[in-house]
Amino acid sequence: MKALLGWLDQRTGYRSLVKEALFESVPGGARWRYVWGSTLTFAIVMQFITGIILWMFYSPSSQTAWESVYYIQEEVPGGWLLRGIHHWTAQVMTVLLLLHLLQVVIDGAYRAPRELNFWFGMGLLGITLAMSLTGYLLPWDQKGYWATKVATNLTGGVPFIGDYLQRVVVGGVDYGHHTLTRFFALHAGVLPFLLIALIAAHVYLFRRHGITVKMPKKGPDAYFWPDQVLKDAVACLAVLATVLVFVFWQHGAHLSAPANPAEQFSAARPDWYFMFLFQLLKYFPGDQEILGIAAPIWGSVIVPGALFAAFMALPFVGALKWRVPVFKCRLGDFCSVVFLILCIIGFIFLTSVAFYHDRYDPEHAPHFLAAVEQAERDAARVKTLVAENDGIPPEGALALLRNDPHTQGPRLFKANCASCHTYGGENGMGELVEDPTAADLKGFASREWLTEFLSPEHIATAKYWGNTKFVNPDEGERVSKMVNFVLDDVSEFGDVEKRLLEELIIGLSAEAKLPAQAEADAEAADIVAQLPELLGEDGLACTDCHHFQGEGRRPDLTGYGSREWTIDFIKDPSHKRFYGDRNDRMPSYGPMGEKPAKLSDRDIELIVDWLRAVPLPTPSGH
Amino acid sequence: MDTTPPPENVPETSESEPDRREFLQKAACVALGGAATLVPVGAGVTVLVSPVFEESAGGLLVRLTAVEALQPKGAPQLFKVVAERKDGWTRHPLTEIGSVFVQRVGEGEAVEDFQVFNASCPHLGCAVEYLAEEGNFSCPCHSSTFASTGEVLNPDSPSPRGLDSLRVEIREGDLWVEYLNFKANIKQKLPVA
Repeated sequence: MKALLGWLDQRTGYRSLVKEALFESVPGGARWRYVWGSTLTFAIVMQFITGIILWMFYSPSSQTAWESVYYIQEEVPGGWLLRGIHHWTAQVMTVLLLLHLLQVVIDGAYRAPRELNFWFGMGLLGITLAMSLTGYLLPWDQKGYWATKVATNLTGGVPFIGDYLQRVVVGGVDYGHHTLTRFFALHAGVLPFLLIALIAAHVYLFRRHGITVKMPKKGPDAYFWPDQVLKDAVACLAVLATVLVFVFWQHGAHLSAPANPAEQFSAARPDWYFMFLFQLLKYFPGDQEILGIAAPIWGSVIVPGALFAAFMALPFVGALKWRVPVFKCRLGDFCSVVFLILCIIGFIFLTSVAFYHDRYDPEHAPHFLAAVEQAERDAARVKTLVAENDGIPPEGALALLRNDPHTQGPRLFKANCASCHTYGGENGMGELVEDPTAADLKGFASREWLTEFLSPEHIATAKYWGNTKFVNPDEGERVSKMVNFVLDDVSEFGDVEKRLLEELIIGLSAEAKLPAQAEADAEAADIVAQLPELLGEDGLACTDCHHFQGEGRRPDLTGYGSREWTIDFIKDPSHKRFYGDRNDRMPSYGPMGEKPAKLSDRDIELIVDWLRAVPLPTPSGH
Repeated sequence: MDTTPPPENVPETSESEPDRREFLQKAACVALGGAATLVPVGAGVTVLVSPVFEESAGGLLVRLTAVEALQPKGAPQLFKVVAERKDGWTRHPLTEIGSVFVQRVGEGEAVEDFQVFNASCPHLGCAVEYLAEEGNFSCPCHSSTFASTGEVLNPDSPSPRGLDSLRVEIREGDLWVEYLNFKANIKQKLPVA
């Protein structure tokens, strides 16, 4: 072994290299305050290892990016752990960078002759933030998509070249395949290359100038190995432990619903370390100008740019040698530290305001939190759909959501039905509806729904027909016979008729063939078979008015509440099979002669399938 | 080089104490540093080698054609094998997953009247062609030739075995095949999926 190493050393000279690396002098001995550089190196090594393996699974295109990340997160054994480490190390790295910067400024390591290395460090900070920004988009989920869209729109505000710059970054005028391939090439190619080059220069210069010793020295001089290395190793382990706590807490990293350009995600926010910039933008109203330049340019380009420039100028500020009387330190150090403290206060303040506004502002927070909850619901739903489908269709996961009644039904209901109808008192998306003018459709045609509808206590309430003209007719029209029947006749029903009504409800509800009632319908098969008699003269004489299996008039009760019946009804409630000219204000959503349909057949199907389905349990809040 | 004073509870400082402390320090560096690196490396390697532990799906029974469509004692015909396939995260409803040569060797409609070969060469997996004039199969990559019955023809063929025949079934007048791929470049015929 020794001979082999000797052979290798003769040819490479590795021993002197190792010696130089390990036996660097640490004047005053090892100290905890020197660990930050090493922890950052460790974090970068972790990112390279995990990143390269993630690379082997990731597929950058708009139909496969979310899908491949989903696959890593949910299906590859240990994939969640790997992705989690990569994600959370990136977060921790940002903190470590700030700590490193803090230590460098406080210890005066940014001053001559180390200016250049300080600038390299600022460059590394910039590259790391760029890595975070590009990485945020790669999962192509709602969160990353909408947040990054904001960021790239900001590049469009750069004076003179903004438009071109934005097109180059986005890979065209709009987001798509090319945005992902570009961001991925930046994230996994260009930026890591720059990072390595700059780190090499950074470490080289660091070694050239030696450590900036914090005075007073705490002990006799020592070497980097093993004293400082041990402290570094402990610190790295602590970094890892922190990362793992988050990874296990979140079971990897969060993945929201697949990016959907048609589905605004109003809770899109950048990662937490960019929130201060996000908040800063709000103080620059779009209709104002400062010194002839539009205010938003100030907020997005000039102010952050000036801040960065101020940081770059720190080495010159630090060179000021006069002494500050009270604090007994150099003026340069005093200014730098005060500047840094102000920056930290500003950072913490803006970040807190942004987070507070989103979560607690009485006007804004409900919308934000509702959007977050909706995105969580979609994210959970798409995972269920992928599992049910045993995979994702070639056109992507979005296709699953687009075709899912549970996802689209409530949205279509809110957009098209909720101006009159309600669903459990809400608009389908969890928001209360104040003054509904038509029936609540949650559980439509179920036994419970029909029982209430046919009861004198309920039919004339807002939940059913209370606000329709069946109860409150226009002048010259009469109250609907149906309403009179329920209010006058049903209220005087004796025991026998009450039992007949109960059985009729069971039978009529079975016409709907509701999936949730299938078992109960089958159990009541005897009663269901009696429906024609129950509706007829020997029963409650519904067919005096209603149509049923070829007898009577309208509205047709054959297949009442079934999928086909409900679809046809929505397409044209004024059809003679339904309300005819007695229809209240319900529009026809299908094609009417020359007029094109208000809703496509598929959209109507989605609404109906959702109405007829058992509601999904609402996910527990976050 | 050791700079810290020895802890108080150690009764006496022997000559070798600083050495031992330094050794322990170095050992701790290696152990802690190793532990810290092991986690990302371990997670990475686990994920990297995960395909090794994927369970093979076994043969896939696929309908090829109606028996009537094949001429009795006709020449081998190339058929695409179309089946549902899961590729990573994607579920393809119906997609082309390979191809087979089908020949109706007999006159009847029994299983033994049909001969189906996987179209990939048992040598290294190139797609084999059927040369009608010669009446045999030939691999364009390394010039193996196979008789219409599947055996290796040329003595200098690099292929270690003849074409891989596949099991067929007749169902209601249709020809079905159990589609399988086999491990290349070995004498035995071992299924890989």
